[in-house]
Amino acid sequence: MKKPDHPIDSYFREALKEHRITPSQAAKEAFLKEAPLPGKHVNNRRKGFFFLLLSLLTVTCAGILWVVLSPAEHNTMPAGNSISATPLTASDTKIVSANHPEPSSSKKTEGKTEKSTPRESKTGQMFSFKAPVSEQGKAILTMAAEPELPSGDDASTASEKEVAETGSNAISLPDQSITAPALQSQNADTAIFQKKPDSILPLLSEKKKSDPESTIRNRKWQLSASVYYTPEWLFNTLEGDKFVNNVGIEGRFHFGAYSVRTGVGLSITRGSNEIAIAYNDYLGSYQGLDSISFRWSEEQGYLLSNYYMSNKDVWDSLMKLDHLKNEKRYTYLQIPLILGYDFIHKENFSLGLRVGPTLSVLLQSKQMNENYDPGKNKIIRVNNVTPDRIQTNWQVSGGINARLRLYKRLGVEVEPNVRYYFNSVYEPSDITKKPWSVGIRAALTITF
Amino acid sequence: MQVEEKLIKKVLNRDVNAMEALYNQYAPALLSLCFRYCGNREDAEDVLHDGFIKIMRNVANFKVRKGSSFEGWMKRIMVNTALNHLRDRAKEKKFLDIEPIQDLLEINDEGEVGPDAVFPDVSQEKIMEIICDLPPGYRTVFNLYVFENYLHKEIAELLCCSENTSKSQLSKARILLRKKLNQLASEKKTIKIYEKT
Repeated sequence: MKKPDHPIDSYFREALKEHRITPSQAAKEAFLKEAPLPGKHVNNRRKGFFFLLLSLLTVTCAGILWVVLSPAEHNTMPAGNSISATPLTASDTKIVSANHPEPSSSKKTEGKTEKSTPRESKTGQMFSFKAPVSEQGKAILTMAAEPELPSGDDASTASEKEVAETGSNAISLPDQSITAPALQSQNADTAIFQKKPDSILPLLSEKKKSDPESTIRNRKWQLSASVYYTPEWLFNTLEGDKFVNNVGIEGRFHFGAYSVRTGVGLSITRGSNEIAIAYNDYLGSYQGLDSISFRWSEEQGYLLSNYYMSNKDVWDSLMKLDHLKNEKRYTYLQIPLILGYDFIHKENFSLGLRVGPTLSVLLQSKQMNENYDPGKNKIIRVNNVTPDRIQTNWQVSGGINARLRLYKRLGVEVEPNVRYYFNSVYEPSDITKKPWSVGIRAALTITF
Repeated sequence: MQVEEKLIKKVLNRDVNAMEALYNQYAPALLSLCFRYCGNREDAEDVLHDGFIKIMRNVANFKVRKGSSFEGWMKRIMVNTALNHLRDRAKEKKFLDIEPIQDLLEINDEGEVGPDAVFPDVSQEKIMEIICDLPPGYRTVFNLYVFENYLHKEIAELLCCSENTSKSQLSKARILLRKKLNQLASEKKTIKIYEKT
């Protein structure tokens, strides 16, 4: 587009066409000293975007690897888990067969309980358990290395024989508990079960059940809380494309593959509305005559006048228009209600659809620029050229949610989503349109 | 252009001599540009320094193509640096520098002059002085519109104001400049008459 050439513009342009100012030596030296090594410059925003993209890729890859490569459920008890020392009654104690594949004994040394796994003898035999009754009438299950034991079923037969001698699987023991000093006095290979399960298997499964992590994981329903951040790119607004920051906390109830999520969040964005100011130009002031008084001068023989003046401002009668763009920061309170269904629902990873409405209520609109200063001009009228933001807004959003369990109860969620605004973000006006947006919700979740 | 290309390649290879050569070649014109925006030499040299550092950092981004001007590219960086500098300076001031001009009362022609208008023959330094005497808002719009050939729409986007504000600032700048030129012309006439007598 060719601009009209104004004579003053041409005059100045021509006059300064060849104008040069030589920089001072100090400025030159400063530049040469600081001249950085040239390199491809990537601005911070781009760096941030690449970092976000890289993080998302890493999380996704890690999730896929986790799901693909992780073995099936481990049956091993977590380290540190031990059989608690509770009083034991003889009627509750049973001997476990040496060939039982479950962890067979726990060893107590200097007050600490140590887990031991089944060990094989040279002949491939498992160690057998004996349950001799000590003189003090305390139940002791002994795990003794018996390389000379007959192999195969003989081992179990031997122990069964011992059991048979007692008349049944249950060893009849006096109603007396085992105490720690007594345990210390036992052989190093002696395992003492101080609990009162019917067998070791139920005992172990009971242990497993009592593990809070596995309890949560095995539960069909789950409760979780999350902190989220969603960068959102809003389109179809009067001001062009807008960037919106969303942050908040949410709670989620998960039942099988279905979930409901709600919470509170803040949505912060910047925007502007243009206003037109009708004003009269200030033209200046003059000394206006208020009154004149006359006094007869006897000496000079005529009337002496006194003029009483005051400053009078003058404004042009022509009404002019000025336009001002008010930069504002809008903070909305957001209350989402998101329903979900997981296509893939595994312990460590889930992938599903999330759909639901969100209510936004304008909490604060803070003007970022200074107020318009008309100087001495007379303001006649102020009108909105573009509408201001709306107070309450409804949106519906839909997205694909990927959840990855990082560690025990801690997990991350990534949810790319699309959002449609039912009503415009602006106050009702002829020029408003219904915006839509895309965003990526990133959340850190804790499962209870 | 070939000389420029060679210089750019050398700068990319971290050749300090090439950097110095580039500085020597372009700094005077760019300092003049900075001076027009800043209104004083100290600030202009600061902007020139910052701008040149940016140019050195981003020189890899300049694509040497037919029709692409390295000087034009450097000027754009320098203008942006100058505008950022002015924004920083104006942070404590008003958003829009709309100042009531009381000394324009004698001029009612809104700065409009006919095609046959005669302007005084004054030195470049004097003309630069006249531009620098303009209030910052007028000066910026005038510089962008007249010297950088921006449209009012582009100026409005750059300065976060409306097109109408840009237009009114330019108009007011012209009025002030016209007045200054008239003053200079009358001073020259007076001097000539005095010299004759």
